[in-house]
Amino acid sequence: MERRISGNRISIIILLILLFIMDVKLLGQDHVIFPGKKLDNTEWNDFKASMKKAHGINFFYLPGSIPNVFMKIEADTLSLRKILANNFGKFGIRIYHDPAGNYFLLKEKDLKTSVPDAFFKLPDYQKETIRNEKKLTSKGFLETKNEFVWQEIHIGQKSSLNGKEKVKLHGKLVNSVNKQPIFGANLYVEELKKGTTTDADGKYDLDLPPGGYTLRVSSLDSKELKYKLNIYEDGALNIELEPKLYLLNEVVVKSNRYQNVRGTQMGIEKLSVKNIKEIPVVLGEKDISKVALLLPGVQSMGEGSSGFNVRGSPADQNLFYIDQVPVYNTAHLFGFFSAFNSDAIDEFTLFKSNIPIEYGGRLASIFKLNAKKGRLNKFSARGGISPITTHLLAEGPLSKGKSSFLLAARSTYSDWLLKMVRDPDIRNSSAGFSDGILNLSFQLDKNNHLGIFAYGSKDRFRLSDIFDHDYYNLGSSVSWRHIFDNKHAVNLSYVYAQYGFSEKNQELDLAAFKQSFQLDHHQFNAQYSLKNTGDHDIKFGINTTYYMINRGDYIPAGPESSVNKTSFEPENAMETGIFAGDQWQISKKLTLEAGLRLNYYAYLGPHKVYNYLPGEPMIPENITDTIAYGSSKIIKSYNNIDYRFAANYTFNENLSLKASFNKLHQYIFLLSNSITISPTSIWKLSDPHIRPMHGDQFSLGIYKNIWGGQYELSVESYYKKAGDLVEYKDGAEFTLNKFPETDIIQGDLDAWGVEFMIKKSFGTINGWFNYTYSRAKIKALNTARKEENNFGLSYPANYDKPHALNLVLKWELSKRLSLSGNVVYATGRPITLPTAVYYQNGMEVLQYSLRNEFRLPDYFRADVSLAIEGNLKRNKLAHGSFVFSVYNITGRKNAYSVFFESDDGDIKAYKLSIFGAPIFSVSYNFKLGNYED
Amino acid sequence: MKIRKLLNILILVLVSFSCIDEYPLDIKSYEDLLVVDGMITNLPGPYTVKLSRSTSVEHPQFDPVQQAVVRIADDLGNSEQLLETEKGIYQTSAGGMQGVAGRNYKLNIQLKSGKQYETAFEKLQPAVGIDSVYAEIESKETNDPDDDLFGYQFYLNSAQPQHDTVYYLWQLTETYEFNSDFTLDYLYNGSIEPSGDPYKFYKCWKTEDIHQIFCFSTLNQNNSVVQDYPLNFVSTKSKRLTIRYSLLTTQLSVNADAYKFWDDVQDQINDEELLFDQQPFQIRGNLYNAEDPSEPVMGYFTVAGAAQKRIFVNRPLFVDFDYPLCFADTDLRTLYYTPRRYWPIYLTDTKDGIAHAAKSCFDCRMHGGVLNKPEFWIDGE
Repeated sequence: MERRISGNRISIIILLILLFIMDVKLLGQDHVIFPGKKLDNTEWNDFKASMKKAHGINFFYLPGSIPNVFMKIEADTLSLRKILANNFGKFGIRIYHDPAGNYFLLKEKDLKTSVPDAFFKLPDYQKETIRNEKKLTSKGFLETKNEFVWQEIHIGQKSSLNGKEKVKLHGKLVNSVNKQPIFGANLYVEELKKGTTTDADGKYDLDLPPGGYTLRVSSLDSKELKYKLNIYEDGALNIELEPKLYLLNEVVVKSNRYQNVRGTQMGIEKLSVKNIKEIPVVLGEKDISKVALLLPGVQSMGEGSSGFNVRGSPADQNLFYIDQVPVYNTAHLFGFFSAFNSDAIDEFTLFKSNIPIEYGGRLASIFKLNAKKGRLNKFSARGGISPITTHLLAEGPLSKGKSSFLLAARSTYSDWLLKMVRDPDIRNSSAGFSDGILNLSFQLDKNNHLGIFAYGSKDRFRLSDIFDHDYYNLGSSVSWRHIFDNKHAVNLSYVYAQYGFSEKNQELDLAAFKQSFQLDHHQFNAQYSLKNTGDHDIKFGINTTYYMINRGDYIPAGPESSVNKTSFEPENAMETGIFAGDQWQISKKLTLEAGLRLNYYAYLGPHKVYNYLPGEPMIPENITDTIAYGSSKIIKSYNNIDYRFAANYTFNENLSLKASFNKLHQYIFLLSNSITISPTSIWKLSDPHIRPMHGDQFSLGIYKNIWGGQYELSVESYYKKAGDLVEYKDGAEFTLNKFPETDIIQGDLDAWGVEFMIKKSFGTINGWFNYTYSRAKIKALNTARKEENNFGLSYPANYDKPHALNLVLKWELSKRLSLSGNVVYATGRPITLPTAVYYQNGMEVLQYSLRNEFRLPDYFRADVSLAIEGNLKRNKLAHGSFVFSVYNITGRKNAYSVFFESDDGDIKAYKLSIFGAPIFSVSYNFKLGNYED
Repeated sequence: MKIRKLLNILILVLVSFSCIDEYPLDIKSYEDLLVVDGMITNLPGPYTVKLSRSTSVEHPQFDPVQQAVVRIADDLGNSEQLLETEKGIYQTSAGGMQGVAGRNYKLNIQLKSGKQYETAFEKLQPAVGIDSVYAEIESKETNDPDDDLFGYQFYLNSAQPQHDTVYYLWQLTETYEFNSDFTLDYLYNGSIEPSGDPYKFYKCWKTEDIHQIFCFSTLNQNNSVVQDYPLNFVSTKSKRLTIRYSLLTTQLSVNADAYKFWDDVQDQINDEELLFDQQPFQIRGNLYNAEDPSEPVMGYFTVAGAAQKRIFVNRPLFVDFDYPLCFADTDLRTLYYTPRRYWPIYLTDTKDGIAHAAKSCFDCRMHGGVLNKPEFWIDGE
């Protein structure tokens, strides 16, 4: 298609605007074409038509400004620009072109007066590699929406090869709006079935044989771009990706299309905060980690329970990171909300099968939340209000283009909810939480980046004058990243995290007590990444963590209390992992990944250790002697080897088969004898009596894209076996036990499942559907010590829900209006029910079944929400949006638990439904600037 | 954002809360298991052992096990067979065996089917005295914020234990004096006649065991004496405190296993932390099948040192009582239509004239009372 421009000033302006919007650099490499001898001495009009036909090149000029000359083509001239310049230079016509193959023929005077100086200015990071550098923006196709029109990129000329077999393409991907680097974007060379992903700084490099390729570039929240790449020399290609959210007119949003099929990673789930904005949630409190429950293989005990059960594992087998800071209690209000302000979170990744080798210490999964980095170009603020919280966020540059800050805070005002409850104890109670994030980012120079991050959360809870409970998380990290030769990177970081709670219980004046708990986590990380050394991606490094756990003192509360002050000894331990991993692309179709992690764990003094009669239960009666260890003395050490294996076989760009097998160890776990994680659960380290937990998982998956990648299908299955799982002896009471081993029995977990997922991530209607069949069974029997739970019989885990189904849909009715909905179904969780009655001392006593022998009724819930954006005016001070949502629209009274009350001889069963009716809520969010900002 | 807008949002938010509904259970397994419930103490007998079978949750009942051979033996070779005095209730003879602190006791049962069950020998712990039991007027909040409960809260102080006793159980028995709603002034047997003794069924004493478990351990206390331990609460919503009330407290010193059993049972009965409820589990007692130890047997044969204390309290002053009273109907026409089999009809004098009401409004025995003053009863001033 050729566009002629009518000859008036307006067209010139349009042309210039077009050039401006396209933000192309007119200094780019020329088209390498071979017009051939037969075009010599042809008329301009014929030449033009022939170039268009053969190479898809468009020419733009003002009609009448170009004389219809006979084109002279010198035999040695290969560059089209040179040919054009030779022929038109004498008429005072300048030749400009963009990498997409558009040529602009302009009279000299027209351009000089109109193009702003900044037009040719390059960002700092591009200056040094200007020779073979391209900078592209996705806006290049704003006017040509046909996706089959590709931009063409030429780096070097075939003649410049000099027999080189490999050339290197490197560069940086940034968000076109806020200029932030894009992490984890995919670059994929179709012909080679080879690709790479960008690192945390948005940088990538890719070794290719010289030649012509189709390059696809995509990331989670940008549309996919496709380029024709002709590369014959090393060169840089910096790309600005346009975030999906800001597309105003684009109809088709393509993202993530082939990520499912490519890459060795499996069992990985990624969500960005933008994706979840409209997903209906309880009381309108946007919560990215709660959305995790809509993903396959992730379950919880029930509404209002903290913790996630990933692929049949207990909740303490997950490690939550916000940036690099581990968070030991991820619940606000004991689990109704999560401890993360979604405003400040960019995206969230869940590794549930092949946990990357640089992470260790948890058997089931890593939940990684990446906090947003502040904008580099301008100050911005946003905030919102929901029935539960208000939240505010401010961000902006500290030094423009180089360093930035982001500060976010959230707090509740939710006591009014409690005042509406009838129960006097609840009526006289209060509850609240707050959290905050600070993220500072400094690009020291081209190769050095410094990050400082801090996180804090606090909960306070008061149940009448009976029970007070406060808990908090604190954490901070300093990380430094250095890049060598655009190739290798070293990351160093120091991380500190603290979790603690304090409790006061005055239920009984006589036995009123106070107790506190504190966990300190110091971690040092060093990692070296070698990127694209041939077909290998290699990384190696070390993590060392020092744990300090202080269970505090159990002290009397109030003058009437006669509890004994009990002091608990602090625990200390060090966990070190040395790791190395390699991703090796053996052929175009087969990629292997392997990793090894050596763990050294030492339980350190000072501490007293009890010895028990061998072959007898570990109970106080069987203690033989006590050994006191001095400070820093190694009391017990464990050496273990973790490994990861993964393989991806790509049949074609739409179908692949992946398998992975891995082994992990865990040295810290949660002590809790309640069914859900109770607020007084404490973290405990492995010690001479409690062995580290270990787990193996084998997964196999098939990934398929259908209908041009519109739908992603996947089926993943897994088998997991965890040993030395920490279970609690029936009726265990931890609060006062100085020797937790006497209340613990170590058992085995067997879990397996199949996860089906269909996902449509773009279009007016998008969303996902998944179905999971899974089982998780536990057996706690220690024949050597004559200890057993449930009489030694295997029982379903508390969170064993064989059938689980989730549907998440979003319908974008218009730019300003979108409708979203969820449907959730799951088998009821197992429970232990009273099965018979007998009498003791005149009292009715319930005889319970075996552990988890029965189940609650099935769970079903449907939610909807409607999001309304403010107007789309360009010039406005602030933009607002409302989200109206209804949680549990059918009002189904899903059973959270069943309990029994014996009332004058009648035993009645009751079920408790936490959200037993539709819950309406409205939340309002605002930000400075317009819709796009 | 304007404050008004903010308020509007809050008004728009219609929040509903959690709810609790009845939940039908239909479980048939686990019925028909042997249950034992018995005790021996250092106090004089007779000691009782009850044998029964477990029943369904919906229709709980005492299903006695009859014709068993039940025997208590000590470690010195003494033993006594218990006789079945009622269905499933076996007792030692009045002048028979009496527990002695420091000795070990066991229970042996042979069912009609021939199955043998027994406990291990368990030591009878030395009894610890009760220093005092006292009552205080207290109020308790209810689900209705405008309606608090008032009444007596009883507390206990134990005496200093002479040995290393740390595990305590308490059993409570209450006795109270109460009156019928009306005096029996007339009888109707076709005609109204004076009854002769208006106070014939007016004053009663009622004795009941309080079916609640009270247990406490001083293991983690700096003081081996139990102080101000709260026992039962008696509200003014019944006639219990209207005249005079007596509480008999039996303090039992038990071993760790018995304490754990009763503590577990109490936990399972009182587990009210709905959201963070503990993992329930099967509780098995100390009796087992000699041939098949895996057979679940429920209940406990407790061996305990025991001490008792009885206290009396009078009607609390300055506290309102609020219990249901009978309605006396002065419309006597209904008497003529009442069938003969309901004669005599009881009548009372009211300020509005002679009135009739249900018999239970005149006869305190129909509320479980006895007309004879118990031997232990001491009248107040």
